[in-house]
Amino acid sequence: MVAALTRLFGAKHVELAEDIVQETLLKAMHEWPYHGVPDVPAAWLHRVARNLAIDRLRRESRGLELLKENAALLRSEWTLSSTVNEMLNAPSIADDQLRMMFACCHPSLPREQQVALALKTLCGFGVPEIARAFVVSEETINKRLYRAREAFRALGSIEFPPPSELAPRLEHVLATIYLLFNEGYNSTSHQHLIREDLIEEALRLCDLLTRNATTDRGEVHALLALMLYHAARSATRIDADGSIVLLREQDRSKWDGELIALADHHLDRAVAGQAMSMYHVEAAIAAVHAHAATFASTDWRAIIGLYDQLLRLNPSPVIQFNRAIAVAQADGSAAGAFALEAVKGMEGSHLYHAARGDLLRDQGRVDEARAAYTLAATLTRSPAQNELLRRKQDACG
Amino acid sequence: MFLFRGGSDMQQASPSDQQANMMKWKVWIDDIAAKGKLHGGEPLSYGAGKVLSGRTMKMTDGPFAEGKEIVGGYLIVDAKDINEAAELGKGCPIFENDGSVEVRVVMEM
Repeated sequence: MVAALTRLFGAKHVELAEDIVQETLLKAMHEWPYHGVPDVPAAWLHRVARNLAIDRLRRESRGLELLKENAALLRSEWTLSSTVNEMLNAPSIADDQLRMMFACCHPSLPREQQVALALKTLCGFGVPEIARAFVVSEETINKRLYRAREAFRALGSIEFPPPSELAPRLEHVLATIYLLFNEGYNSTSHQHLIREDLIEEALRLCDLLTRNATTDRGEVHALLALMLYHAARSATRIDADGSIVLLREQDRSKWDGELIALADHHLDRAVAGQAMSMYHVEAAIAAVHAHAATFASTDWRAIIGLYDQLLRLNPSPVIQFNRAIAVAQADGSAAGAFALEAVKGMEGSHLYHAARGDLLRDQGRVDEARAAYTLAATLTRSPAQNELLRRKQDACG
Repeated sequence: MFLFRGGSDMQQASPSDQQANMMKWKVWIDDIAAKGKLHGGEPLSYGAGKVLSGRTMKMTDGPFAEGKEIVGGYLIVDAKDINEAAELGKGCPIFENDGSVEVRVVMEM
């Protein structure tokens, strides 16, 4: 709704759009307890927001700097309500959300501002919620939003990028969605390791992209498949106490078969596309895991092969690191440790030291393993991660 | 300037007819706007109206006489001459309801 209203008023008035949505929700909070929840709440909210928008335009349209293409139409009663109706109808709202996605993920905005703006305007998160999601103060989020809106205004109208720029701009959108997902799936800074709300929003936004002819592309399906494979396992990743359960120990019977089937479907669609992206390979790796009956029977050779492909696309230490873990599974901990030694540039990551600890432990080098776990624990802020590392240190005796 | 007369009183119509009718007006006006020729204008209510007349400003209630003669609204377009304006006026949905469009030139004084 914010996206559609912003398109109506123009990017300069994104706050007016937010105001109207907020006013609509307030109205619902006042009226629903007394008159009951309407039969179709979404339609009620839509109607109220539309009427508020029309009221504001009636009262203020001369003072508002509107977009050239619809200013005359919004300033005359002849066309005001039908123009507003048309711009706020359902199919056009879906398109508006996509346009807004491209605008929020504009390369001129720093990533953290992109995420804050996307959560505020596309996902309807409040400032306190966004602040909580990233464990920063509300003031920080307000600052980020303020700067993002300033940059946003400079963009003027909110449009799809031209075909020549679509692919690189889409990359930015996908990167932001994936970041949102990862923050939900592997919260770096939150008491709860998994934040369902962020995961759901990331899935929803990506799904929306697959439903539009312009953005229905292989890499979008690949990212959606990748996120779905991960989401299918999310319920088994933590136990009742909120502690991490490793892939090796997860109860595979509780993985969500429906989500895996949906992921398979999108992976098929992804492979049918022209381009090959990182998301394709990462989704393929996730698919191998999702279809392995047990940890031991996982096709590690296939996974190593896929990591090799990934390294050709993007030679990064994180991928080398993950490949080394797969080598350890396929060829034993000594071979894995050897591969891990070759990885340079991850010395600041708790994951690297935790994995090094595992491989040392498996080779019986418990003292070195304990030191690696201790070092890893100093490098993460996540309570769940710390708890897991503590358990591993204790197991070293 | 277009002066619209007659047609049917949309405030009496069912909401869905009203909406369908407004959509037709929108399509027509949208087209004029897309050509960059829309200046502005408003519909006028068929309801309460007053007429002040004469030196004494005698006040009488409207609306007035035959429905056909009631001005239902106005629209100002930018056209190079009266013929172009009349051409633009041909798309007006008011003709479906037997109304008329009076096309006039705003006087430059």
